[in-house]
Amino acid sequence: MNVKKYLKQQAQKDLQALRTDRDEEFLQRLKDSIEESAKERAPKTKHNKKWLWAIPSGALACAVAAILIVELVPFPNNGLGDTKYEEANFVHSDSDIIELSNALTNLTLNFTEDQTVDIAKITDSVSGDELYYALTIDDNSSTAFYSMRVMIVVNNKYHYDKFKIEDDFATEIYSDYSVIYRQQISVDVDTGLNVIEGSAKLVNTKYEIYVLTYKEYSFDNGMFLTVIDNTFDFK
Amino acid sequence: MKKLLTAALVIILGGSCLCGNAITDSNATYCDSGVFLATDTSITINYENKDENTFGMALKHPNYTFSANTSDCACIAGANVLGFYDRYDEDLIPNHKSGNLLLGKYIYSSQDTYIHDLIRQLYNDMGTDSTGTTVTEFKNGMITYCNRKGKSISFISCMKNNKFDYSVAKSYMESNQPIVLFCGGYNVADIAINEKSDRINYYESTANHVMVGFGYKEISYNLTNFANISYQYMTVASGVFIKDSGYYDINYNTNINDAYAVNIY
Repeated sequence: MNVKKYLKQQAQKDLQALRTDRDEEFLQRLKDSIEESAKERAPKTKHNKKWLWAIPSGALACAVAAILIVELVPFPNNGLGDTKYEEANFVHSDSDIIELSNALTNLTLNFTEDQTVDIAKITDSVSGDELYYALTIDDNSSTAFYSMRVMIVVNNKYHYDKFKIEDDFATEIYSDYSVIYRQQISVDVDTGLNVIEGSAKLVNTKYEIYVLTYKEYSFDNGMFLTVIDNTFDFK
Repeated sequence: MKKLLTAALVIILGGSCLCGNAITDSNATYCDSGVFLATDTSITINYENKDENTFGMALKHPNYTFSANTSDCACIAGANVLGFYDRYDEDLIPNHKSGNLLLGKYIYSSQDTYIHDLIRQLYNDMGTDSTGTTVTEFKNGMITYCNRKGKSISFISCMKNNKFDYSVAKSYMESNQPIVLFCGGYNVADIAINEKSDRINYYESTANHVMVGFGYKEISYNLTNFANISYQYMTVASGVFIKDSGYYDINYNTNINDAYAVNIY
């Protein structure tokens, strides 16, 4: 056993003695070449191809999914949990004061005999969600006349975002709510009547209510805020 | 798989554009629909002085907006035209009270359940579907409705060389005929008047849409920088609840594909 070991060590010494620097360089190059070739032939190559194909496929799948969601499904609009409804999908159905009253709590609407009131319920035709009530109120009680369009939102996932409050809006504060509004007065040349035009947002913790348009023909400065306060009774 | 996904993408993107584009051919459908959201824009004009020329066919014109189905803006526009002529023949819209006179000028009543029914009827008469209504379908539907009531109806074009002729439209409105406007993209504006400053608030959309003109307003401004600028509006019933009537700026992000003065007699 010792003889065998001795001979092996001796052979190693002889081999090292025979190797020149050039031989060492050659062997190193040969070793590097073998390692590089082994890397290229490794099964990992096949795995890489799969991974690269997954990039465009995944991106395309994500794009399709995103478009499908945008096109077909009402989706959370922001971090607040609002739902994005598409106006083009809104449909109106006949409604009346009884249905509207049943849909409201802590809010009563007062109408007079001189007023004609048209009420429609607006629903999103995709989701079937009820969104708001649309009221058109005309008053022919005297020589004056006014017409008012009101939106009462009854779905807390829907928020009307097209009412812009500008610098020239004013605020009127009542005991149960406040009104952010704008009104302007011009003169109708043909009749000499004042034309009072207004719009308003009623601020209350429970309901989102907008007077989208108010138009009154009057000999005086009109009664925009009075009409609002007489119509809405927050409990 | 790749081909399938690409095809799906093309169908989805293509489908988005089927309704609401500013298609100008005679088969275009008018729907105020598609995936095009309406937007709001405001422009402020600071001026030294301004001149206005205004005409209205009524103190308050019909401005119905009840939308029983999607893509039914042509039906609502048709109802607004019929509502206008209901003043002269109350049987045109049964049970609906057309309005009142106030100091010699007419105030049209707002919509009621009879107008709701009228809009549903026109949806059938025009053959409207989820893609909307073509100009031909609009005309045929109005003819059907009027003939049923024993009335005749005429449509006179307000187009010249495929362009809207504003002066022709004005002259027809002055002779008491409302103008039906078939628009590729539309706007409805209100004008907030302040001291030496007007703010024009536009509600606008790229959708194809039908509105009815019941008057006009032209404003020429001499601006604070000595420049001059003019605006040409039609006073319209838009058919849109949240902006039921206002001023249609015929030169702002819109194309009038077709327009007719309508007479019912």
